[in-house]
Amino acid sequence: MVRIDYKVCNRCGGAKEKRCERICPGDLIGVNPEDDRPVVLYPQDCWACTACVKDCPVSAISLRLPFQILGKETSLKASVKGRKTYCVVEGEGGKKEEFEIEVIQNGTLRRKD
Amino acid sequence: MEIVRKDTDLLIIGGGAAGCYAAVEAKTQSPSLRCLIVEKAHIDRSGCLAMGLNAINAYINPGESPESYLNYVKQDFMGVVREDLVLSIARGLNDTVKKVEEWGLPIEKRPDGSYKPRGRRGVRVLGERLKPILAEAVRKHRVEVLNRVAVTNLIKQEDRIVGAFGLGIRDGNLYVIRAKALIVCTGGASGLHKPPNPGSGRHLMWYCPWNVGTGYAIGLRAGAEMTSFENRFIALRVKDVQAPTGTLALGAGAKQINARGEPYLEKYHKDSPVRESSTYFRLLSAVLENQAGRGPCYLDLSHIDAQTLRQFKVDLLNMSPAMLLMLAGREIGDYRFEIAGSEPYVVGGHGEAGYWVDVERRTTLKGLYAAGDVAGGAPKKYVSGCWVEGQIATRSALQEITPGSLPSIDEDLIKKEQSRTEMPLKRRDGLSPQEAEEWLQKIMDEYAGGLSTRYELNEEKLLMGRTLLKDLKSNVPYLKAENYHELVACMEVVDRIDVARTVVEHLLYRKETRWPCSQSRLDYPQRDDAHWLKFVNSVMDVDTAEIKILEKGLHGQD
Ligand SMILES: Cc1cc2nc3c(=O)[nH]c(=O)nc-3n(C[C@H](O)[C@H](O)[C@H](O)COP(=O)(O)OP(=O)(O)OC[C@H]3O[C@@H](n4cnc5c(N)ncnc54)[C@H](O)[C@@H]3O)c2cc1C
Ligand code: SF4
Ligand code: SF4
Repeated sequence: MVRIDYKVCNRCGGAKEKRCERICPGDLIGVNPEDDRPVVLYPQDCWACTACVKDCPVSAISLRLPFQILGKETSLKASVKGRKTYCVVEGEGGKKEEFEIEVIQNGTLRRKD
Repeated sequence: MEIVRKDTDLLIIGGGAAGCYAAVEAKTQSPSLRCLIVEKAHIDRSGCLAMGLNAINAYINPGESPESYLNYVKQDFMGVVREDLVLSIARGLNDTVKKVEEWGLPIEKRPDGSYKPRGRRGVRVLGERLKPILAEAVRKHRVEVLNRVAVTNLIKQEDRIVGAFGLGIRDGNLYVIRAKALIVCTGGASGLHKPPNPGSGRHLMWYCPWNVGTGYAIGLRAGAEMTSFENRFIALRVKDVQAPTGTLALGAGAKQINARGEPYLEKYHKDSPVRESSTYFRLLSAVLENQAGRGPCYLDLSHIDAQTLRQFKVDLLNMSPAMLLMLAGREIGDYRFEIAGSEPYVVGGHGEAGYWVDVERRTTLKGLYAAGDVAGGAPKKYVSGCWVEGQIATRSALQEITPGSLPSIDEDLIKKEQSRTEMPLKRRDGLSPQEAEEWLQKIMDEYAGGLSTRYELNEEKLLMGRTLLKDLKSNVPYLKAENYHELVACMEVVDRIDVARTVVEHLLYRKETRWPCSQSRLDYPQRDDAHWLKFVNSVMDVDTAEIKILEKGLHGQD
């Protein structure tokens, strides 16, 4: 399941199609036309693939597991910059572990909308 | 619902591993060719590869050969595989992996520059962004892409497939696409059986929840021959988060132990009648340990050191992010994870269910080719084998594309598909796609060897399953959708029902137990090589939707 932090989300700068909406392989995210906010319309259908988590340009989205699976709150945030993917996993009590991996070689991907 | 018409030379249905590779191959061979990918999601993160990968599971490492790869696959699948297909895959693996490396995929190297093997037939990669890398190659090669259009049926005229219909997920339009040749690359089918978790956990499954078997269903409805739908694939994974238990975890020094703390694999390896097959026996042994009251089984990582653990986590970040949430904040020493078999899937990339194809990847329908998880007869092809099949299918399809015009499409066919696909939007009351899906999954779980019955099958239950599925199918006209997202979900459940019916017919027909758990017949518990060293194939009648079974010999003969 993913959670959008609306204090961080910048509505993709007002773009008509939001990045999170565009990327989710299950088409689970939509936009509320009244306030231009992204909304997870079908939270129970999430595959936990982290595509939206990684594609949000301001890292406003985090992943957590349903309580029936883990029984506690842990979360994962990520961002993609050039050749690297960065990730922060937060355990109970705020204990954090960070990762930085280089996932592209020879050249970078241009971002395409 | 508006009608949008498009023409192309080569139409690729599904822009996943096989589809992206096939498209790039087409534009490399023939830059002026019109090539169109129709993709139900967005090719940057669609299908099985959305999370990424940390290993390419099929590769010919030094000391191995295409022939040794074939031997392994044949043994693991109890002798019933299409040798011609498997060999053709094995021969192409290393070149396609090299290509994808050139496109940007980092592959771990040894000091001498060779790839770092993972197990005998794999290589380690940092594949978190493998899907965006494939998508970028598609863009660079100027392939046209239609994202968010879900194909709903093939267009067949005079015995030839001349195009496909698609439903626009954002605009609700019906796309009518004509093509000179088509390659279906939509992956396998999940969601036929009840998933392990309800509600908020229902999509924490191994296979991609939006690969629903549409590629099989459109072929079935057009009369294509399918093979081995009784060979269901069941993944043995870390329970609930589906993280791998194989070489990756074992590479981190993990042992599989039962509730008493005993390693149990060896025991079955020695005694089991299926010892020649490691994949099946690993799953079977976990099931049997549970049955004997020694469950649950665990992946034991309690002796892992900090450095190995960190490497393990990086591997997980590349392909199984949910598992990192399980590990978060845990102290070393507290590392034991329950493992369990998944619900069954139908998938030709790990298992061997799919289109019956020739070595050129031609299906039995003229103009239609198949590649990747949707193509049957060649298990254990994994991601790299899907690339090879994409390459082979494209090369054969290109031979068929000649200058000249496209046939005009019968307007009645278009009207028929339009009314079929828009009907759920017009209903004010009826069956929601979710309700229909739950109904299907309940039937398959209880009567066609789902998780709750430990995958076990027998004739009486399968016959009940057949009857119940017929009843479910007769309720398709009552499906109701509130919006386009639900409309696509309605089409998905219709496709799943056709795939599930085919699975049940195949399971009924094979009267032996060839692949434990995948196909365990309680009423025919033994493997019977004297009678069943052959393929079970099927064709659905295009008018009556009855499924007819055919037998084919190991080399494809009638
Ligand atoms: C969780 C997981 C982990 C895996 N790990 C590994 C690994 O470590 N190593 C390895 O070698 N292999 C691995 N595999 C296998 C490998 O990912 C697959 O075999 C491969 O991706 C299949 O390629 P494909 O093109 O057939 O299907 P996919 O890559 O899934 O592509 C199918 C595409 O078709 C699209 N589609 C579906 N229906 C329609 C429709 N109606 N209209 C239009 N488009 C449609 C989908 O959105 C998707 O983009 C893994 C698979 C899974 C699920
Ligand atoms: S994690 Fe994946 S499935 Fe879940 S909302 Fe994000 S993109 Fe969609
Ligand atoms: S991608 Fe991020 S910033 Fe853009 S709308 Fe979604 S949550 Fe907000």
